[in-house]
Amino acid sequence: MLFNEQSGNQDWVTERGRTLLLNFKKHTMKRLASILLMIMASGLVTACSANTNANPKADQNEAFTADGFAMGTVISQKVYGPNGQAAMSEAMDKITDLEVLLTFNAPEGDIYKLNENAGKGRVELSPETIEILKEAQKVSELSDGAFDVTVGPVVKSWGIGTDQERIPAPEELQALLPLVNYKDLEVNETSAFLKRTGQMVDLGGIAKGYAGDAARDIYKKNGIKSAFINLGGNVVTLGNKPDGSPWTVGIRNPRPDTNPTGGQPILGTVTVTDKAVVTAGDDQRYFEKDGKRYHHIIDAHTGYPADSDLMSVTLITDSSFVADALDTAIYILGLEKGRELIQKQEGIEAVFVTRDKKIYVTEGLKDNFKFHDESNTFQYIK
Amino acid sequence: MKKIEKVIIGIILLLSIASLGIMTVSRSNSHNSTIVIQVNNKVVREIPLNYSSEIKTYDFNFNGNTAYIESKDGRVRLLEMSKDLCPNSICSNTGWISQTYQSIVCMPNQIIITIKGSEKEKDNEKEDGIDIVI
Repeated sequence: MLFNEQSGNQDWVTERGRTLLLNFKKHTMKRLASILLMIMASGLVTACSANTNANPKADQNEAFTADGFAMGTVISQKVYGPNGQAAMSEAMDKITDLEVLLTFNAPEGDIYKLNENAGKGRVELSPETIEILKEAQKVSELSDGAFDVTVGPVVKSWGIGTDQERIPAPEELQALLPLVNYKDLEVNETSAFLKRTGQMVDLGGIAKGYAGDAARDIYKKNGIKSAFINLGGNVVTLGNKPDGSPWTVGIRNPRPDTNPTGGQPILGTVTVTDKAVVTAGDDQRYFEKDGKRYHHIIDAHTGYPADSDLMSVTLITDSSFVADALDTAIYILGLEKGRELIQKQEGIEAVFVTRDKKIYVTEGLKDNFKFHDESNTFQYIK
Repeated sequence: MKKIEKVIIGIILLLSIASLGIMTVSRSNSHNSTIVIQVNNKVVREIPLNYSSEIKTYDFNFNGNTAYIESKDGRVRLLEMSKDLCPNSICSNTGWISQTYQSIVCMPNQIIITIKGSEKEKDNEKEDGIDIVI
């Protein structure tokens, strides 16, 4: 169609040229000039339209995205601005360094060394490890040991999320539980010590949160004004979106199979600026055996996956480090005790999703939270 | 003569308007997203998202094995792998994804499948307003 029109036009031009040669007059020149003007004008219009994408602020608004595996989860980043790519790489390098430092599987890491020397002696640790251990201890105390930073031996025995996941025998768990006690972890300004042989620190419930805050610091250092990072359920936002509006974070339905269209259905959204949004739930890492779900959040009092009345809890606060430690504890404690714990803290809001498919939010979130259950199986209790 | 000029002007105008129209349509047409498949933090395959209702199947290699994805109606899903490759099938159970904020993740095999959209399409997405899902 388009091609025909063009070729038709060429015929006309050829004919026009022939006519011009035959009847050359002054006023024809004028008309010719006007035609040329028309051609140039139409060319200009097209040129302008082709340039509408060249936003003068393109550099500030240029978006960079990356997805990658680290810390046993997927790390997704979106960073706006000219330094976006460099900032994302630096953040990813930092996260992989922290992973080595904080996992109990890396022989060159701090936590591995601390665990290896349990019952033997004090271990010098990096300032970052010290900071994390102290916060983890604080939350262990706040939750009365439901969340316990020394739950390592039990977590290792379950192996959830590894290729050795299994249900340990009750006797095995009973033998391991006495090793779990955060009060046996001594931390000073430069070193730490586990009192008894066989004890193990596990920072699985807190390391990603720390890494999220570290990534935000790296973005800021690179002059970034607008970015987010998602470390498998730990979201940290920097500023607003480039258009000035806040980030909209969808809270995932912990039972995606209830959604007829599949995908990653949500239960609702919250909008945030410069906040961390962190979720703990039984749907993030689990295996099923004989129809029962065994998830990765271990109740340090029982040695079994936490069996509270919650499916998931999402915390919204300034620091993903603080949120990540607390949300694990709150998930284990359940709705009522979890609510009490939040009320004692400053500036923390929460969305609770219970096993009987009800959604509760804290007072400060009632205007912000938008209930939007794509599966139509949950109930929002205002 | 005069008539011919008018016709020429008319045609040129028509052409420029038509080309403007075509450019606008092609730009607002959001059917140009890409499926990005990553294995071990490296992109192994990029495939245009299939917007027709006819299902298209593609394969990709990971750690010496092959997995398959299906795409239709602007969506993509990962087909279930054998139990010895992926015991829990959490990745294939994700089902269809169609938005750039969604992903299919296979932890045991370090596979991430995402959708990369054009800037225009990102604007369209803002209709449902979601930037991140956790």
